[in-house]
Amino acid sequence: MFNEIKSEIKVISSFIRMGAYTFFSQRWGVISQFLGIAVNVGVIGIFAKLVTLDADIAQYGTPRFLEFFVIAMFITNLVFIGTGSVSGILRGANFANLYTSPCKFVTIFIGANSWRIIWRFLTSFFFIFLAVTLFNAKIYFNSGFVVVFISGFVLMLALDLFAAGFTIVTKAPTDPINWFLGLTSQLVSGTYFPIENLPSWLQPIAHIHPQTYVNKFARLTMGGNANLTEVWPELRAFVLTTIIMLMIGYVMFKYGFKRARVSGTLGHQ
Amino acid sequence: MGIIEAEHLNKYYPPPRKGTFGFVDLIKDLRKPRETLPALTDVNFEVKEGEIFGLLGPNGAGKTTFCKIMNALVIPTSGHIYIDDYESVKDHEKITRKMVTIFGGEREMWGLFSWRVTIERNLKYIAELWKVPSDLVKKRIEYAMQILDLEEKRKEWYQKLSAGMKQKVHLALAFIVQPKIIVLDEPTIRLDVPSKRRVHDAIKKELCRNLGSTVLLTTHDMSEAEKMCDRVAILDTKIEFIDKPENIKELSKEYEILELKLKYLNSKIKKDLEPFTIRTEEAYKNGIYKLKIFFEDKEKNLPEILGVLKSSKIEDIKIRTPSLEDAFIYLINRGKKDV
Repeated sequence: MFNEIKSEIKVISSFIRMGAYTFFSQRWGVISQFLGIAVNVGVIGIFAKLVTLDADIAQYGTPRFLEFFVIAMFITNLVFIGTGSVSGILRGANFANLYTSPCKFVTIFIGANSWRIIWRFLTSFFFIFLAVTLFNAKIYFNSGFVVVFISGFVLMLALDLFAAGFTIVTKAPTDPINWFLGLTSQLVSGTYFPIENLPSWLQPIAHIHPQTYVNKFARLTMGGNANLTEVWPELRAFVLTTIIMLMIGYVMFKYGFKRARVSGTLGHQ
Repeated sequence: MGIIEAEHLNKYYPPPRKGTFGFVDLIKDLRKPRETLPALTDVNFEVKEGEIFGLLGPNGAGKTTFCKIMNALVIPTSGHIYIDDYESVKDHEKITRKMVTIFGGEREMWGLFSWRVTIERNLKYIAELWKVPSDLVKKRIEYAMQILDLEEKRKEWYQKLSAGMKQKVHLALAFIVQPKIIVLDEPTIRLDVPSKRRVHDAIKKELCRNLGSTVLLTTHDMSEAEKMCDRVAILDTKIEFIDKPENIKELSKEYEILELKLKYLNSKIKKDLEPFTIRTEEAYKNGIYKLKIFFEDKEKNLPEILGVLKSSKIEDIKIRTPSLEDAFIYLINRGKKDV
């Protein structure tokens, strides 16, 4: 058992190395990403000072717009790693070939996403580092943040499993779940202003959008330094939803995967 | 007991979907699919350990479907493939440690080879995915590069290689992993003649003789099958024939081929030929009809055929015995007539 885990970790590290080689082969791409992040932080810092929106942002634990923006962008960047992590791999021909190798099913998905995850973490923390250094943003990392991040990431993964089950059957170039999440994530989930400031007819959409809750809990923990015990009464419903969605997503994925193997379309574009 | 055994294997695909935009179609799509299009029908055969077994068939005969079932990428409608006593779908994970599949074509190996990475690094990654012991990785990569004449390309990015070179890199997978069973799906489809010869020698001498691997080769290149395979199965959704390549050629010796160039040919002449022929193939170019007649019983039928063609003004005439390619077409057509 231990040897098997060791061997799978070795395989994942091969995936990471290969991802890094491919990524750093585009040097200008790497430099432009860091420059892009620096510009992004600069724009947010200036925008946060200029904004005059009459909104109660202190209720989220972030009295200044700077932290209000920075935390939402940081957590969105992190939890959205889950989006496309399964459906993206299954959509192309890559998965079918990896499936013929002796890698375990889970190892393929972890391995194929591992470099993307590492790089997303690096850039997200670089973003926070610049915000703290240049604009003196006050950010806390505590146990509450860890639970919020894990729950948010798992929820996005669960939704992506569901989406993967859908696209693997229909072979549609996109799926309604990731399309909805992508389209609405910044508009209705309270990234730039509290959802209370949205028109009343848009508020129900904000209330069903998972990103709304991820933003809210991330601001309370990272901005307001609320620990897990303080946020748990509200957070537990979100965690429970995540667990239920993970089970539904897994069932849909299993169905789609089997169906694609019956139809012979696994690996088709 | 064979190392690969197909037992009453049937695969029927669901008919193509009408589209995903109509709600009714979408609901129908999500229901259990009706599998009605035959890809494999009652396929039974076994491959013996250490042999090179050819699976020959025209496009759409089910060759790739067979390879995909071996890799659990497709679930059969009924029946099984056993690989070294393991069932291909149920025991997929155990089988992957004993088997390597190389699909022909440039796009077919996506996911295993990275475009902006050198050949050497790509091969090292492959070795790690297949869990080749780390002390053997370097030695095996060198061996594969030497056998496949890739040494000069080791520092080149995969994306800069020609389609043929990429195919040779894909084949290196078999030499690095050195598995018990190797499935090659159209392995030389893009190679030039010298590279093809080198790959044929490498598979036969190195993989089979030296390393003792069993090879299942799918192809529609008859000369490749003739040169490489110990035995050949002719597949056209069902197995039409299994034997040694020379015996398949021998079987088709019961008929002969008459190749003619004619000035005139009309439907009446063609109809008059029918009682004396198995089948005919015709082509028209620059005012000349080229007619290929497959016929049996030379003594009896040849004078009759020539009699019918008297008014066609014969410009050229040749009689020959069938090649493996002719035998292949004959067997496929005979199968269709039987149906």
